[in-house]
Amino acid sequence: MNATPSDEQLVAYLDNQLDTEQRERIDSAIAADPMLSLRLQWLDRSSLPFKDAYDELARQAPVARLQAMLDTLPPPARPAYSRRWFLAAAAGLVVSGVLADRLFLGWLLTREKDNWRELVADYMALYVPQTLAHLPVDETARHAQLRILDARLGLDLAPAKLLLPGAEFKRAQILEYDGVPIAQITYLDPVHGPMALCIIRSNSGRQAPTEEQRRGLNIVYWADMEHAWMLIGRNPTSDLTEMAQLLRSRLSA
Amino acid sequence: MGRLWRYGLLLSRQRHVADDLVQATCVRALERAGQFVSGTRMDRWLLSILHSIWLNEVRARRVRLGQGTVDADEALSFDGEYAAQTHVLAAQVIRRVDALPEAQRETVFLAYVEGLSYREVAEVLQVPIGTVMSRLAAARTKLAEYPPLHAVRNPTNGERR
Repeated sequence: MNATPSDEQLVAYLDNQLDTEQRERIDSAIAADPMLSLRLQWLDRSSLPFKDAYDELARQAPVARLQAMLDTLPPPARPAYSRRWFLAAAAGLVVSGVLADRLFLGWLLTREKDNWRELVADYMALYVPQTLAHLPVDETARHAQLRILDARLGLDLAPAKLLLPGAEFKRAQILEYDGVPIAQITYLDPVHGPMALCIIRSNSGRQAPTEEQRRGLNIVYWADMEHAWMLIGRNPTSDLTEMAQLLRSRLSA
Repeated sequence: MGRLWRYGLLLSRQRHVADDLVQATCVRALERAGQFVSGTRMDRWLLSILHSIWLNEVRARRVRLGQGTVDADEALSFDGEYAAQTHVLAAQVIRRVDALPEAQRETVFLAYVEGLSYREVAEVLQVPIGTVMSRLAAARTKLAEYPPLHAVRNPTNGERR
């Protein structure tokens, strides 16, 4: 004869947190004791739409203010990351795009800095359309974002110069590794998904547009006297090359 | 980030404290990024950081200052006619959860809102699984005593339920 299940056990039963054997024991106890069935029904009255209610509350979170606050946080100190760590973490990144960026950059700190395009490709490989789809498109914010890029990298970017055929301008932000700022301007292409134009300061001389592939992404990169540029995305290389030419002609003007 | 914030609000019941908690959590997460254990979920890790900051720093200070907490009504603000029905139901649920003692409140939140298993809740809160079970049983016993949720009176269709 089994002891009468406790409220704890009945709640765990309701919450589906019992293994098969425990479940069966409670099933048979309920079958044998109508009072227990009533108790279970009583406890189940407390099954409220908790998730819906708090999802509603989360929609009221002052997200813009929190994001702005996160933007002011210092970049992380050099911790002992591993690639594995980051890729595992990336799966759980549902909390904050900005925080994700910061943590990712912390991870980048441990990487060799000789190839910034590899770093960017590692990063962009994690973008999916949903990463960018819900970013608000706001003229004022876009201007402010570009001013930050201009100031950090000695650029003169205007939204009109950055428009690309087919792809929608989504966000401009400063990333950084080892004290080296990287400008990242993200676009969303309705067909090929996320795309980015990334820029760092570079004085290693001019370089004509060159194509390459990293992490399954197509890249076109070039350099002028002060900056190195790259366009990266899943678009065909020929499209990226055309866009690169468009950008070069506008930005050198 | 909304998820972190609502957990901060659930614990503190004050919006500005929730803001501070999110900020402190992010700062701490960046400092301790090296301690993040590969293969675990980052959102859970962030929730546990927020919880420990609340427990060890914010709450302790607030208790010393003798500040009270605010009423749950302030937690959800209603903007006009937007989804009034959803809001009213949500507000009732939140008010009932807010009326629970803190330990039960956060356990209910992690298990039923965040959908964590008992084991995961125990890890975030750093308590034995048996404690999670007894808190949930106590919370459900209290919550079961309320009348069923009632929908808002709809002026065109009359009472919904």
